[in-house]
Amino acid sequence: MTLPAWYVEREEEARRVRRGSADWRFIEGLPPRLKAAVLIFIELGDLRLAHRVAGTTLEEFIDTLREAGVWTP
Amino acid sequence: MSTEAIADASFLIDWARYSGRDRLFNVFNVVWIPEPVLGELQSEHTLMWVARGMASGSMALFPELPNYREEALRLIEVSRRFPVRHLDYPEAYCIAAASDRGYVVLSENGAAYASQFLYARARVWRALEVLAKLIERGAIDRGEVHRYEEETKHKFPRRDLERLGI
Repeated sequence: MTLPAWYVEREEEARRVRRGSADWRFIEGLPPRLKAAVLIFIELGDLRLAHRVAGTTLEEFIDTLREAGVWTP
Repeated sequence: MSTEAIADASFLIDWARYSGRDRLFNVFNVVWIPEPVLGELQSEHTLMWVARGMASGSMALFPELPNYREEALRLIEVSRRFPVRHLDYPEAYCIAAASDRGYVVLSENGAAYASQFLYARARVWRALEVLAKLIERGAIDRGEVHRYEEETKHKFPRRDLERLGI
């Protein structure tokens, strides 16, 4: 079984949306762990992995992604 | 279709920010919240919405049962065989229970969403699929999707919107 083509293309588009809408000034000002976690989310869209790196609660991390303008899971 | 759903934390945290959040119960009679998911909810806003949902009977706590725990662990292992994001326990538990009981899984987790195309029987919906269902039923118009994006800061890819005819 493989992923449908539309979903693979959707994932690519989601990455482009995250990159394009990111508030880089906000992200640059984050503490190192949180900054790294946001970058992982932007590139991979992997909420669980990024959340683990962030070291915050899941809700706090999603709020950070919202503030960073990259909440496109 | 099933009128019951089981939600993971990523969906609940996202959807709780939407002013029309109670419209979820126009689509599902009951939204089950598994115990492992409840433990991930921290903010007063989300917890109070869930508490009100439970008080009204629109939401209910889904216990952690040994058979679904075992199936969730198996799904986590299976997810690692595919070159996509891997499942974590809370969403794997949702999928395990939903597969057996015919629920729809509600999740914003990409691993959970991809699982329905690769190895899981359960259907997985994101906020966008719920909004599309509400549009189909005439409960909201298309403009409500933009309200959802504004209120939750959740940006939907164009391809998702087109696929659902939004």
